[in-house]
Amino acid sequence: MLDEDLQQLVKAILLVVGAILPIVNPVGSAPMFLAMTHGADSKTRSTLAGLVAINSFVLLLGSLIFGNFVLRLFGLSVPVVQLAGGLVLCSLGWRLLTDDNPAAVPTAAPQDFNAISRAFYPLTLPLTVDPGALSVAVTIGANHSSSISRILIAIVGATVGVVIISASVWLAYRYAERVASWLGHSRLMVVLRLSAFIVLCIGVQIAWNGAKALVEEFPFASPAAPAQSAAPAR
Amino acid sequence: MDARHFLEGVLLVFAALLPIVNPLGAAPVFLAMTRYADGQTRAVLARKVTVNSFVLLMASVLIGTYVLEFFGLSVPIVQVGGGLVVCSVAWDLLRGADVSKKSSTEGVNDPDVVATEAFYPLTLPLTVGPGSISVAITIGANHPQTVRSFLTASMSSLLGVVLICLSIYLCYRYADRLTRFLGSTGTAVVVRLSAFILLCIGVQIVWNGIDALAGLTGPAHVPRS
Repeated sequence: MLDEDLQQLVKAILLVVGAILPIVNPVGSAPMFLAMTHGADSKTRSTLAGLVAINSFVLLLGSLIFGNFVLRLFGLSVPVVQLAGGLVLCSLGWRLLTDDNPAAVPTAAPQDFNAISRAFYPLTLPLTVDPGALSVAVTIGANHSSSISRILIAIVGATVGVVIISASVWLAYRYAERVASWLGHSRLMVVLRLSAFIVLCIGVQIAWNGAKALVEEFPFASPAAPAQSAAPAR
Repeated sequence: MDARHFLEGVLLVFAALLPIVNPLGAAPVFLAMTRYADGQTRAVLARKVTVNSFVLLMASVLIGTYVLEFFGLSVPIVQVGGGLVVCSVAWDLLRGADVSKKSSTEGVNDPDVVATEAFYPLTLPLTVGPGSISVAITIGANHPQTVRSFLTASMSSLLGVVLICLSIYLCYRYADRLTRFLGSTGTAVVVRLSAFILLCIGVQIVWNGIDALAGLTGPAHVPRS
């Protein structure tokens, strides 16, 4: 009995880590974290890394457990969240890419207070836990089983999995600075521009995934579908 | 046998990339963006853009597929995103060109500004745009299986990209001879025309991307209707 529960728990942890970690992709978004915190000193930056990790933990666990409920409360669907969130990510990438001097963006807010107020938006929400990760978390959370012990196991598994993800975010962001100082200023600029371009492309990809799912719901887009889609809708 | 494969590879890379990188066409735009820089700075910029382009193209050929996989992206998405960036750069250039004014006021010879400008916008959307990147990734995507033929393919891509970058350097380095030949009015006309062509190229790349994306969803329902 206990053996089976343990197996279930390990499976739940692996599912959460395996599905969400590649999308959150802390190693890939570390350069973007650097770009967004360019003017900050290393103390502010390590505080920010900790705050972003905590925010990510709360956000991911929240969407795993309550995500479905919240979406239903506001009458939203996952593709709509992807479309809107993808657009936010696009605008962020665009600003990072086209700003004349990326260093000038964060130095406009030099005080620690201002830098730390950015920990949730844009550092956590569209950058670290992007709408793609949110929608995967909501989808995983949707398959809760009925018995109470199973639900408990799923919740514990999700918590442990999200702790692992947040810890890897913290590690990647905390030590991003060493990579930066190793690269030097002008090469860092190139890396920042490239990662801004990749953020833009990720935003387009997520928005497109949402738009594609939405278009497939149209009755005229898929002539074979209307009989199926019209029946269960109302 | 290997020599033939090698030559074929070099020709493939060169012929596929040259019309898209198009250094001759990009030279007037390069001139427009560096209008207020002096000759020496422009020479430095030409060298930096060449080196950047080389690294970017080689990286796209060799590891482009893996980078896209790592971030969960597809080539059409890069075309849509990058095409929009090309459009925006071209639009600025066509309308007011305050891009070049800014770089004139903030110390043209400041090495930091030069280094920053040399990658974006001069290298990334202008010289090696999303079109060139997606072609380079496609070339790199069908690498052969054996180690020997992989080495041959890599060496031939290397030589092909070196040739491309050489042509970029020559065109950008001697771009200002063109202005002297055209005069200021002629240059202004050429610059505006190339900005307009760049805008159209951006629209074309975005459209290619959208076309490919819609094609992914298209075949499922088009035959039935």
